[in-house]
Amino acid sequence: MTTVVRRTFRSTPHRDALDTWNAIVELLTQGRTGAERTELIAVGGIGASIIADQAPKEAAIVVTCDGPRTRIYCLYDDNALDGSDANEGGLGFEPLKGDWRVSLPCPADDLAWVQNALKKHSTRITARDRDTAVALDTNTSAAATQDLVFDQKGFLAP
Amino acid sequence: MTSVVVNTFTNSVIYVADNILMSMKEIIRLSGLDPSNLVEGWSLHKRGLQSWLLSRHLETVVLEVFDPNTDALVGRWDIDVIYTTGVGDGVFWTDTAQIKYHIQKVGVVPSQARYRLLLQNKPGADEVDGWGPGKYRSTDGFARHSLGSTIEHNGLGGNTAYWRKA
Repeated sequence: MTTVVRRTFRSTPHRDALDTWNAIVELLTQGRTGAERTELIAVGGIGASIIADQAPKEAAIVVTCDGPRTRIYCLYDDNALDGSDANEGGLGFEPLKGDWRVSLPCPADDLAWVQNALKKHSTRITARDRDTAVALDTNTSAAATQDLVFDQKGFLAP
Repeated sequence: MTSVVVNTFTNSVIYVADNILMSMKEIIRLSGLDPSNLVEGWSLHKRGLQSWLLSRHLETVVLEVFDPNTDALVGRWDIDVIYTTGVGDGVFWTDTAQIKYHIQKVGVVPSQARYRLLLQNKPGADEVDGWGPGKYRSTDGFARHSLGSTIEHNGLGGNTAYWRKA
């Protein structure tokens, strides 16, 4: 089963959409410079647009690599100012290790132009309809659901 | 201990600037154009918006749509900035549905059309890196239609209007 780690960032109006993207890049690159950071910074405007649309409020930015998977959400409005649901802490593993990919949730109406715009900068950073789960997420969710099946017999046992 | 969320003018500036850009992106897309150029310049656009909102010099954000062959105006959208800071109940409000409704009335623009974003300031605004003086295209033959308020937080907001051939 895939190990999944969740992080939640405070976005608008605590910080603007582009600064939110840059904070996410900081988390993923762990402060390192290099090709990964360059590639992520290059799509900053597109990332900011998706964040300003509040797409990562309910659907995660999903980061996959040769290690654990990272799911990133954003908080908005009063929740962003309050910040009590945020978790922006550093990761205890390399989230871009090996063959990494970033899947951005996108409003369906924006998907075509966002995908075209991303292609100009990266093959690793892609966009999906925010109502569509990333392929392996379905398996992960299914596994998690199976783990939580209610054991009525066990519950009622004395 | 009881905690309350504190809204500052800076928070309002961040909220309004982001939602002005988001609204302009929606206008461009719904008009049948590619928002990539606006989005690629997000950093430059937000720098101008935030700087001049914070100093209260920003009056109007203008999206001009024009024919690249004739340089003539095809359509135009304005967001007039309203400063009544200190008023409001902290509600974050952005109404893109109203914009969508009016774009359907205006219709899509020719696919070869181009666009650019202009910021109009009151006199005395500091210079911001990447921004310089500019001039509007003529609106002769166009009429302005107001939608009213479409963005608002704690008294800082934007009233949207569009121009179409009279």
